[in-house]
Amino acid sequence: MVVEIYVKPRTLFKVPVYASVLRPDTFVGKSPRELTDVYVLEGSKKVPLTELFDIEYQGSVPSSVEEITLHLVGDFSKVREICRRMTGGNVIIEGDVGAFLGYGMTGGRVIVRGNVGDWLGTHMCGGFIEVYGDVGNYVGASLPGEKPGKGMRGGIIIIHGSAGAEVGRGMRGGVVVVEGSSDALPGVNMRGGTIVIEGDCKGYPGLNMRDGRIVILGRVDDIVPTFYIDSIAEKVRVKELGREYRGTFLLLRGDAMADISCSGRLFISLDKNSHLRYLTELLGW
Amino acid sequence: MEILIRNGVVYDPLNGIEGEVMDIAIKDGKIVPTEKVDPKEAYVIDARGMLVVPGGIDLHTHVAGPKVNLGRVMRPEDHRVSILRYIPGRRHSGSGKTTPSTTVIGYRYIRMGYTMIIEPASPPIKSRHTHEELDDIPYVDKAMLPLFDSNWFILKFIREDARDKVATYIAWLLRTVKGYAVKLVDPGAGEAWGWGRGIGISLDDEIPGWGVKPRDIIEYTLDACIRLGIPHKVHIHCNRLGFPGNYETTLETIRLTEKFPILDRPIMHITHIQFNAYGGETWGNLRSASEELAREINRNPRVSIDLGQVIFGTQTTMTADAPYEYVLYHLTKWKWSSTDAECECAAGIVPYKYRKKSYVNTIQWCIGLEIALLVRDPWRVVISTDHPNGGPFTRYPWIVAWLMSKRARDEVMKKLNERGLRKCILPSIDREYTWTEFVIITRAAPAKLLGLEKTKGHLGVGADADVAIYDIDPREVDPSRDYEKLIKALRRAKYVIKGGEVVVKDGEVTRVIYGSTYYINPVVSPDLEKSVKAEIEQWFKRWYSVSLSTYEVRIEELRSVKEVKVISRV
Repeated sequence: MVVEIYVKPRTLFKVPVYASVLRPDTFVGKSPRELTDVYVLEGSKKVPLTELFDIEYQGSVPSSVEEITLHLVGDFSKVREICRRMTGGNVIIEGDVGAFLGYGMTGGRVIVRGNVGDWLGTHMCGGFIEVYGDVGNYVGASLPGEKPGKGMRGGIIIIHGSAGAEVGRGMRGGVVVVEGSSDALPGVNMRGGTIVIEGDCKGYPGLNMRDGRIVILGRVDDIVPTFYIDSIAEKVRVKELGREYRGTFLLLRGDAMADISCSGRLFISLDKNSHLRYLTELLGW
Repeated sequence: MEILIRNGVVYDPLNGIEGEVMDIAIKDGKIVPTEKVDPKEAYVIDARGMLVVPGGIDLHTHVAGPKVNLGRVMRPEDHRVSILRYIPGRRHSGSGKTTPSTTVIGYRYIRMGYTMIIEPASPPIKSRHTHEELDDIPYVDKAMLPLFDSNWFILKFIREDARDKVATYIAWLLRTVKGYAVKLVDPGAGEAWGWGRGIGISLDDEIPGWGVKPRDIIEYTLDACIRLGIPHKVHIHCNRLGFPGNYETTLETIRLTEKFPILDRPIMHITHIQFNAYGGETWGNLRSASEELAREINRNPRVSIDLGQVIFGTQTTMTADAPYEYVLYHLTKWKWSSTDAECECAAGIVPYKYRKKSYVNTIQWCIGLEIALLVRDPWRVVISTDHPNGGPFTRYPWIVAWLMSKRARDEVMKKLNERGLRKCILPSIDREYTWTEFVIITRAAPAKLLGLEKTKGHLGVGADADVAIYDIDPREVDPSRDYEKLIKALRRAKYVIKGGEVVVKDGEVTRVIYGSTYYINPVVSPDLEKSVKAEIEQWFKRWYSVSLSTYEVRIEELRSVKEVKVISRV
């Protein structure tokens, strides 16, 4: 049985709202009346969820996460930590969302028809996030100060717009696809997983990466000098998505500064990056 | 404010009181005879069945100064996990576990019943920063020890063999930067590090460019401190810290004191001795050398120690021993910061994780406790974790429990590396500290080593009213069996009185007050000081980035200052 739950903000928020309870897990076995003991932080104040949001059920009280489809309608751009540690169910967001969407989520689907702030999918372990708009910095990242490889561990993030800097920082697994362009330093401190940037990248992909793959289909302003040219690749397959990218790719391995074995792989489209053509000359050796 | 503590079980080793049930009266921030306080008007604390002891003194804890601040910046992940909320009128907000913010340091110390802390390593040129941070730490009294280990003036005067000038310079610098004693960190290593050398510099290696040996630095400063009459003489972090086989260097350092007479208190304080008690040749065959060191310390009454006990978990190592941090960085490969402080010293910071299953870390954990248990005289032993190098100061209750209960130690040892335990003698040590010894190593001994035994570390008439009351009855609880109860009681004191005010009640702070900063003022002959100052001025203009007038920390810049004046023989 499917239960549709509609959540709308009552006002335009002036301060950040920390609403980690806005996830399907909160609503399991709870009727609208029982939601009064669920709290969110508005600034530094603890406020009941129902005081800030209108919540409307279409269907009976849900008994498991998988039955729930949570619709967030309106301006959520000041609301943070939505779907924090979510384990399942569907969330559809019609509007903009603030930072830390899907922090540490382990399952379920999140679809955003709008823009998202920074820190999308931080510490994510599983599940699926699809964003139709643009995304801020640090997609699938680790928090400041953490060891490399403490970022996204699993799951899939697909962004139809463009993304900010440091996509997949400290990432260890999973897939991030950016269909637009990205800012600098995608895959910094990366230890595994796959990042695909279908548009342009501002530069320095894979700084200090030890493992994993970064695929860039557009133009890259510059690459880190500690990558070695390995070969020319004709196609790149992303198994998790069932996608295959064809073209001529420079396959670079690195980062030599992070690890002498150079297991990190960088696929850069040769057609769009004529300024990197000199690397092919090194292949004849 | 008048306070009367009724029927507490009092331990006061400096006055020879061991577990007597008695009353303690407090008036105007001092302890007074009980008849001077009127029970009808005073704030009466019923301490029936509670342990009443003087406020604790931490002799070695890195809590302020530029490198502590850099450690905070380097470890945001440490601050995210521990946030203290703001309670209006009672406490400020703050964060941090191994590198807490200033206010959090104050709260955590006072909650444990500690009322005085010593920041043991501050570059003299950055003293203003250190004092600003110390001023911001609430509740506790504090003091700061400036670094002299690679100071160019000291090196220069030693090269000239001018003992008077060394003493005069030390006196001048302590007064100028408002320090309390001389701290030497791996003498000579900071200067050698400037030349890319200095990793594991030993007592007889020459410091490049100076022709001076670390041995000379220790000897000259020790001689100067004795002649100046500073109560806490040399606070030394020995050479070759953290290298296997370094116990021999430590033994040699201890033997340097033999030329000097036995005074009323130890003349050399060897700090975090755990890091300097490694036997063996490599990390692979590391062993505990606590027996050799303890034998030497038992024999030589001129030396006191603090433990530098290791606590398992991720800690932040920060020390003025910059070359060793370089070594540690290549071990951990995570984050590293290295700094140089002009003509004075260097520093480094590296986060490090002590693992229970690690061979080396197991031995480190054992050594600290072994030395504390093997040294027979508790008056020369002080608890420390070398916060935050070995662990946070908040773990002191656990260390006390390990010292007071063999069962508590055995419980931890079950989970440790077995090969490592075979290289230690801790499993075979049966000694357990008594309540009196516990009060000595946390209160009376540090007060005596600092030369503050008149006002601190005891509960006799005339002492400062720094009292900690713990909800544990030493007549009923056997710490050897009920160590859990002991830890629970020591973690949060029932009441803490600081400077005659009740600041902690039931383990929570009730209000904010600020303590004083102690500094030492050795008076030397004015003629000598004038000539030395002229020499300093010349060099200052040539080598320093600041002028001499901005170098001085003036009394009016500090919140509250207490001067300790000593008349010297220089």
